[in-house]
Amino acid sequence: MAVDMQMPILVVDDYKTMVRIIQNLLKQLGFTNLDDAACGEEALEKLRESEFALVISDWNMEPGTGYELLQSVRADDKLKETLFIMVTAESKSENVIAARKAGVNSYIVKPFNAATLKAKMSAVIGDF
Amino acid sequence: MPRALQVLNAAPEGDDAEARAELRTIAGVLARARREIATLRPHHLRSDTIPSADAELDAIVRDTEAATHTIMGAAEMMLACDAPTFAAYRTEVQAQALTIFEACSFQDITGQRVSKVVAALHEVETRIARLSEALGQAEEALGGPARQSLLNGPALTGPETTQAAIDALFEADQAPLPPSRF
Repeated sequence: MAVDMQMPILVVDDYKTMVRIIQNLLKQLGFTNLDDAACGEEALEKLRESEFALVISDWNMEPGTGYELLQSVRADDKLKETLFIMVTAESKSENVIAARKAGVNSYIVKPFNAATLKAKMSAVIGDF
Repeated sequence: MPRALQVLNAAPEGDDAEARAELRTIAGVLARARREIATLRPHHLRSDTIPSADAELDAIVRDTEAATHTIMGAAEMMLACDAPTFAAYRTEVQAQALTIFEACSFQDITGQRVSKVVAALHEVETRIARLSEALGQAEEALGGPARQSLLNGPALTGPETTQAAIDALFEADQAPLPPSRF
């Protein structure tokens, strides 16, 4: 099935510059239906108000880390099927394993490039 | 001689000689600690060194954010450039590239700010070490909640686990994931 390039994507990061970088990369890849949040708490509010196909989230944020956001999403019956990619500087194997156990779809370690983002997104949503 | 020791020495000796000896020892330690704290110039640390370091760090975040936005703005301009001729396109791209070079000067400024913060940290570290030595304090193991153990931030020399290793971890664990409705 062809990937819906209009799928709503939520980018979550407490650094506005990183939000801008990721959104620019997504636009270059052809995705334009984008929103953002600055922490896990704000992201969860947005997820409960509107439908998102994919969340691309940092880990280290307050209030509400990306890991806590992932746990909340997977624990919510209405949100649990939302695709979730962690994009983070947290690179210890404990973090990767914890995120995987919590149900993350993919994990990108910072710094990353456009090719890596495309590859991990393709693995999660299909080729585009 | 500290007041506590004066009082102890002036009081008549009784059956509590051992307790008095302990109290004299404690009074001595406290007096030594007070002298050491005075040499640390805690007021200077509190009023000058630490606030200066805080200000430098705030400035680093501010400067790097501003530079990053400038660089991205120039990149966005180049990507969106729709000049009528190649010459006009090249002129626009060159102008934006120059903007990027200028913005990159933040690295020089932030490098200097970081050096100042490191110097402040060394100063604090030295003073704490002297106080610790004076008090004969042994270092205690610090524990933290499990949540904190997953919040380490970027590693000093780059990611501890490479993207390839992360991908391998995901491939090895083939547990089914929730399907998406999109």
